[in-house]
Amino acid sequence: MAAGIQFDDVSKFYGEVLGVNHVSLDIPSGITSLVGPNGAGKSTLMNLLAGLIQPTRGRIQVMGVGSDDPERLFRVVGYSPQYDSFPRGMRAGELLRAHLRLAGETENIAPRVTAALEQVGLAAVAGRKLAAFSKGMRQRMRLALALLHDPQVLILDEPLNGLDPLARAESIALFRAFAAQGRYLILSSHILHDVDAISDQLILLSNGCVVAEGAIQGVRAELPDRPLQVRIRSPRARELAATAFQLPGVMEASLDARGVLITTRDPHAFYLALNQWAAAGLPIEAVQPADDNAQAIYGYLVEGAR
Amino acid sequence: MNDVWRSRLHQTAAVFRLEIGKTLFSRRGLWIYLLAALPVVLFVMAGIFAGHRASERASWIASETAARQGQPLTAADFSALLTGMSEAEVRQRLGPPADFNTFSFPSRTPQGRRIRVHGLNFYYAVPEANYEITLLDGKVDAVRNRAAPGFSELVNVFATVYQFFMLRLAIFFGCLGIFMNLFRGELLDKSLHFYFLAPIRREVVLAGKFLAGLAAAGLIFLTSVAVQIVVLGAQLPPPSRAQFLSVQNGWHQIAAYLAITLLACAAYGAFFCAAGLFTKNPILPAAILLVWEGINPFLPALLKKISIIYYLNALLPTRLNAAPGTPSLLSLLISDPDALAPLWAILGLLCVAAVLLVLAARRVRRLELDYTAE
Amino acid sequence: MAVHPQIYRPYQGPLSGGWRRVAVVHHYARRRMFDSRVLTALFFICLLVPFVQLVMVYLSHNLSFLSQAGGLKALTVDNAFFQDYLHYSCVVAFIFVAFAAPGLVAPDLAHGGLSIILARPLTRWQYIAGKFSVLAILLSLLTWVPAEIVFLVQYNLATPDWRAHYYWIAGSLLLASALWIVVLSLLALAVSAWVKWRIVAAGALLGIYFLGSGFAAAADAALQNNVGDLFSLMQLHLIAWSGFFDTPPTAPGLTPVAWLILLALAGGSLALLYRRIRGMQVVR
Repeated sequence: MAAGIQFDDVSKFYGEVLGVNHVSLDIPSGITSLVGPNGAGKSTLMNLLAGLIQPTRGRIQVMGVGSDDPERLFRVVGYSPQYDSFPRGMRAGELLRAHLRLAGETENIAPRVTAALEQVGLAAVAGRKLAAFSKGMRQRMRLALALLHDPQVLILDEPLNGLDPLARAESIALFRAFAAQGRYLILSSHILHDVDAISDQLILLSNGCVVAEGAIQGVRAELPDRPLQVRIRSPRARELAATAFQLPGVMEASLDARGVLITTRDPHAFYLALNQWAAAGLPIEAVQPADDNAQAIYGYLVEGAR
Repeated sequence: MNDVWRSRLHQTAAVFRLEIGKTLFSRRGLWIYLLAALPVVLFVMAGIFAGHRASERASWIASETAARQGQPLTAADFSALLTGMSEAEVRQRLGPPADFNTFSFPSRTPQGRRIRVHGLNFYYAVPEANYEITLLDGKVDAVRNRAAPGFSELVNVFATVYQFFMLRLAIFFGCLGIFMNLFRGELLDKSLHFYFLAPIRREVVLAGKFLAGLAAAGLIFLTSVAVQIVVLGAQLPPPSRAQFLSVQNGWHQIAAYLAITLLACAAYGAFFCAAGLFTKNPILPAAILLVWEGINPFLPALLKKISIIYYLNALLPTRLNAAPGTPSLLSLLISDPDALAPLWAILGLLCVAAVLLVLAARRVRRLELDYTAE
Repeated sequence: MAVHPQIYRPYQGPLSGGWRRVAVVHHYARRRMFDSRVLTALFFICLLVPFVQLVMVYLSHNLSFLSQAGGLKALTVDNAFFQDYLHYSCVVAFIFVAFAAPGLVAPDLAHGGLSIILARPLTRWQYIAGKFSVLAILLSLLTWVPAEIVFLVQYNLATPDWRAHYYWIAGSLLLASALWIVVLSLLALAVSAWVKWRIVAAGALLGIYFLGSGFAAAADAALQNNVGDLFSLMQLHLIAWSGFFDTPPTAPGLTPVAWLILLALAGGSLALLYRRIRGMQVVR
């Protein structure tokens, strides 16, 4: 297997209950989002990656290290799990120092702890007990633990959960900066708007199976049975709608307050025609794919399949 | 030592540091300190009671001798008392009691008629002991003596309390509390992932936790045993104490009790650590072990050896067959196999602990974290 | 501006009384307890004790062949016999409670269910009463109920003389069992509320019993008197029971002290339960 993150025909059963089934993935660098309904297997996949649970079948490799070798694995991986609990009686700075010592590190501990806390905006509460942290602070603390040893791979289970808008924006900026260095960031989220905004690729899970993977636009292009929807804003909306409806691939053209919504089976032909109409003088103010996003893909592949 | 092993040693020390603080200084562990302090308090109380009885004894002997025209009582006078003797006979043989108290309680005749039983406790003393004679409705019911604590009595008392309370109960439950928490407690607290998400081998985590548990249990119970010995030794007159230490292998015996305490912590600790990893409810195997070791004296020789207490008892300097208060019928059923050589007992205990820890290491390596199942 | 049509109507029907709600707590607590096959099996194993006692009562009326042979004396079924029977029943019942009781309160505290339960019109006392009633009924089925059945069998087989002299044992069995049930149930619930984790609570209950008994024996040996008995839960009850069964007490002077300790245990357990059963937890 090459370096990177690979799942090789991985299945996980909890007794008779299916966790994930026949998952084969090759996750590239950048930001990869795991998307799926509750019980789809997102946390299972992440826990498998982190070695907290072992696959019933198949193999997982992260940067050439097996998931059953925590001593080597967690030198390259930082994981922020869903578990919202910390060791009893500990303070923020104390926990991070303990984590570094557990890693066998003996030097430069205090500056690294301070840097990690500053990165997540918790430097001012380094001496506070973790039990007194709010939900958002606990979320940031988990992120600090994951980032502490500067990992190559970051796995985050619902990292934006419980964060206020400012903290969310800061975290998203952090994720982008991390991925921009050629590293791997895998996160799960229910907020599809965030997935759209930050992800380079997505993995869509449903009932323990991978339903789609890849860049969002690429996934969309592989759904020919789902006609493309395009929203166009124009001052001559009626004329545009009438003209578009004459194209053979166009199935629907509807008018609403936001403009014209065109549904077409042949996006390529439609965009060619659109260029011609614009060149011919038809005023077009905006062209926007209406279902070329995570929400639409989720709806088509998960909700539509139910 | 190469870098990998040096790093693992540092990691073991890091786990040890984290765990020893949690075990020794947490409020949840306070009851273990109380458990270890109980025998110390008991022996302090025994010393106070013994002192009080000694002064009582002196004043009683004086008043008895005066009442008997200068003729002191002897132990033989009390041996001659029989159950059923009348109060008058007792007074005639022993003279008036130095002290007495009365009591009564409701009872039933064999035919079921309700009656009130009137009781008297007569108190006498001889230089070696205080005597309490209980009379019910004017007839002798029981003669009890409370011997002045000489050397052999103190050794017996310590041996009884150590064998039947410290080993079987205090160290057992103390180790249960400490070692069960190492993994099962972390799973209940949902904090075990903190260790499992660090770049550390799980066997190293186990080693660090076990060593911390052993250090904590050892410190608490070794201190308790040492203080008990000091408190009891303080009740001996200095010449007896010196003789015990120098002539009667006293230091040897003290070292033996301390070593047994540490071995017990290691063996029970390994058992409970493994039980916490293999079972969702380690109290069940603990209860089974408690009952099994409780009936150990009654088991045949081969089954006796499948226990920790068998090897620990083999190392005891003073060994008692039956717990105090065991009915005589049950005492007859106690089988006493050939004594096991101390070396084999120590090796046996260390082997048991090692095997349990190896099994625990294999289990922890494959342990899957699923807090929802807890 | 927004218009909100008022279509919501709260429940207008009759409300159930407080005791019905206690019964709801009881129902679900008992059902959850017997979801465990181990506990169900343990409950039925505990019923072996009254079965053995029944056999002994039967033998006591049918051992004439032994007394003719000049061998063993026939068993004497009297107040001491029933006290001993209740003693063994209660020990066995304790083992059942040690594994059953922790599951009553601890999970609600550990998983944050208490704030949901107490957000309903249910007071803390009603909640405690519901849980207590589960233990009280099950312990009754293990103690005085089979004891009264054994007593009734003996009463039917016995001579008129025996009946005239021992009819009162029926009341003694009830009173002695009630004391045990109240103290043990409250103690078990309090321990379950205090330590929060089910398995730790089970260990704590076993520890209270075995450590107490062991320390009692050690104290009696070290202090050369019966004061140690005050540390053993079972001995405390036996001392108090001697008044119910008119049997000779092990230490007459300790009876009032034993009663005080038992009352303190019950009262302390109630106070602890009241403190711990709250809808809100403050983390310091």
